[in-house]
Amino acid sequence: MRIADRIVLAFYTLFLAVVSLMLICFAVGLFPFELVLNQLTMLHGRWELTAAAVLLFLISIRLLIAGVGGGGPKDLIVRISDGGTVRISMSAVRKFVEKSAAQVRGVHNVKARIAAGNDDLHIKMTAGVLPEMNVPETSRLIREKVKNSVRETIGREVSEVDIFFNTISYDAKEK
Amino acid sequence: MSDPNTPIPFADDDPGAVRIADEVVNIIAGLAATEVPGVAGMSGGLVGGIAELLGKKNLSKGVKTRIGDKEVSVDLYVVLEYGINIPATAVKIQEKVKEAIENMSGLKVVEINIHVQGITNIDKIKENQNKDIIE
Repeated sequence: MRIADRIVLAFYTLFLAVVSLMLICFAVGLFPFELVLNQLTMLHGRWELTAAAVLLFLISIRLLIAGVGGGGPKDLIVRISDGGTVRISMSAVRKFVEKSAAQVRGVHNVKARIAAGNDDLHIKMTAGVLPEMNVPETSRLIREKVKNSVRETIGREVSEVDIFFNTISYDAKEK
Repeated sequence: MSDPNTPIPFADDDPGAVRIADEVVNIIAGLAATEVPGVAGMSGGLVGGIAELLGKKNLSKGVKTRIGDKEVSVDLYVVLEYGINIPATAVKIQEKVKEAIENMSGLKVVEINIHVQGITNIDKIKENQNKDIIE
């Protein structure tokens, strides 16, 4: 989701919070029924209300598309020639990177996020590590393994691999 | 996409036209692609997966073709084996599929786009196949 969408989303949720708070107040009887009825009668037929409703509707559609569409490209183009293009889905690249990193001894529960630059890839990952492992050394091995695997298999260079070890445990399936 | 039974004029002096269904070209492309070393299988997406679950063997799974009068362009959705060089394997797929379609249908292949949908261990696939045989 883009920055602009996030700002709109923040205001949108704030507006919904205020509306829901007003509804709660109305439901528990804090607002007299006549007062609410008077306010609604005043709003009936006003163009300002129509404009606000249309704006809210458009914002809802925009946020829905931004949310469902996801962020970033879905494919990574690795080769373009007269004979056609070769693309790899970003989910396949992500799984490949996770599998490569998990091959390093003592590493488990790898989750990666991939961002494609012009000619290179930026990788951020979280992983678990066994207690007896040396973390700096393991990090170095993961970077080396991922960079080599991506270069040999996908034909792209990896410019950076950010690793965040979020757990130290014996059980590979333990979160 | 053209009419499913696109007439293909093989030569100007031919007495008639030969018609080949899109499905036939798809099957030729799919079979040729899976013969290339390093190709674990074709990716048929959600619809293809459901069709296979219902027991329908789909030989044209993962293949989309756009057939013109004399030319064809192909999109292949493949799953490749872990550890192979993807750009090199993709080139082999393009060559093999182009050769197969041109030899068998007489259509000229203008482009073959490869979409790698997954990278998998071949052992896992063999394991699943063995399971199917046992079942």
